[in-house]
Amino acid sequence: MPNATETGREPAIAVRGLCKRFAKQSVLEDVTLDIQPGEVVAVIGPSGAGKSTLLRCVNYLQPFESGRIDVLGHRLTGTREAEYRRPPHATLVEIRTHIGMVFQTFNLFPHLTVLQNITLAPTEVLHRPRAEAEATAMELLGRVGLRDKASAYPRRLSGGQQQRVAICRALAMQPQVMLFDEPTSMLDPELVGDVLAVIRELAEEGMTMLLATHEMSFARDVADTVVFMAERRIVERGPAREVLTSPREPRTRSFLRRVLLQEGDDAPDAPPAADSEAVRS
Amino acid sequence: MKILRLWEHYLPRFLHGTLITLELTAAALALAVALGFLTALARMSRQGLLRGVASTYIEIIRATPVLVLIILAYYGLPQAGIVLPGFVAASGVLGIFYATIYGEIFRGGIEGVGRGQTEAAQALGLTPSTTMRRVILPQTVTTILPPATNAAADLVKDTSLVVTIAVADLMYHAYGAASTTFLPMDMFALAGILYFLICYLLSHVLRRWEFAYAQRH
Ligand SMILES: Nc1ncnc2c1ncn2[C@@H]1O[C@H](COP(=O)(O)OP(=O)(O)O)[C@@H](O)[C@H]1O
Ligand SMILES: [Mg+2]
Repeated sequence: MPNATETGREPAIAVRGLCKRFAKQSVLEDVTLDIQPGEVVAVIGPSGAGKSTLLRCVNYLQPFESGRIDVLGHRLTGTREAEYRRPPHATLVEIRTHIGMVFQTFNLFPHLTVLQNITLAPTEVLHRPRAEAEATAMELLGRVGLRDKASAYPRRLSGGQQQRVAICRALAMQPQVMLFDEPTSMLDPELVGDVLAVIRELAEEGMTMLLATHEMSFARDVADTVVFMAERRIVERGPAREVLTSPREPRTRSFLRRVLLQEGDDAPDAPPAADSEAVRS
Repeated sequence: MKILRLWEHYLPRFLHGTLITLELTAAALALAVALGFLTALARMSRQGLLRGVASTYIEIIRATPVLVLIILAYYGLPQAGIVLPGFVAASGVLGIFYATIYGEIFRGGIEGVGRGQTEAAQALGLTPSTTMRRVILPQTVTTILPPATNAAADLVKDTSLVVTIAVADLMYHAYGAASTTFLPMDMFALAGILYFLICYLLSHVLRRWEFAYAQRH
């Protein structure tokens, strides 16, 4: 896969100096990150690092105080910035229709069938004719192997099936970017694979993705870039394989060691002797 | 049986009163639901002023007996130059009073729907009003219906307070018949039966609906 960061195109998402607080507690500090069209960026890091908050700022589910985010031709500005203007409703709708989001807890609409979950936004927001929206939905369901569940209600589905429906719901808007917030962390281990397979397929099709995850081997295989976040900041970012197998920062290394031990996967390689900082830790 | 013959004689005017009672209930309920929904939205608003106005309104109205409000509206407002027909004053006051109750019922129902539902809808680009209409409100039906049904039954009974301002409802005819026949127990028993039937049918119908809705989901 060509490295999208080297194509020199305008980034799909450019986050600059993002700061976010909840009441007095700072949650994101000076986060800067580019995501190129077609790039898959995996955000890893301990719980509470601010991964979800970062994702939620990108589609403005969460307003932020300072910095800016340029996303698909629109600029979101921190509320404390001089040039801050509350984003007009149309802008938010435009951004959100082009960015699909998949949540840790699926958040399917329990009162709607699988098919209705998927067709709701295309019919209400994009004003697609019902028949067309349903045809698209069935096609998407076919791709994730859930065609036969179209008329089921979400509570009748397993977590893995619900998450695949949630992915279809987001894809039905034909987004240019997908945000995944730990899409498999609520799933029983045996259901994780089906969901990851769907995400992997999307990545192979060239979808631009920002993905918070704790699946390290998945991040290594699928992501172009890995971003390690800890304590409100980006600690390290780089090509996926590099960050995950020979991290530069000691904090990344200790995090990976902890996670990979739990996962029973290979621990990161021993740091090269030439890296004096790495040797010290 | 003497009482049955008596009831038969008075039944037509009692039924006419029942019709007025139902009309009062319907008018007050429509106002209570509409105003209650707005109150709920105001109480959940991000605007502090709006929240303050809504909760002050709720506190003042709920701390005052409905009877006092009805009398004030009918006998007090004319002194301010506002003369309202009894039916309008009564259904208006009952609607405003029950709006505070329905407002809290709606708020409870809406707040009971997880934050994740609103976020999922927002993330799909749905507007706040579409989110409310297509995502949030349908999910509140099962939590809202039982307390809403109880409140509607209370409202039916509270319409009897309009007897004080001479609206010809069921209670009004019961009083009239009681004083002409000197048989108050017989007459109020008949009124009681009719009130019971209204409330029973109302709850029954709403419960059936609630059950059918829950079955579907
Ligand atoms: N709505 C909120 N209100 C207050 N604090 C929050 C809220 N959402 C997240 N936080 C806090 O922000 C920090 C970062 O959270 P989050 O972005 O969810 O981290 P992660 O996804 O990396 O686990 C945590 O300390 C969390 O408690
Ligand atoms: Mg999170």
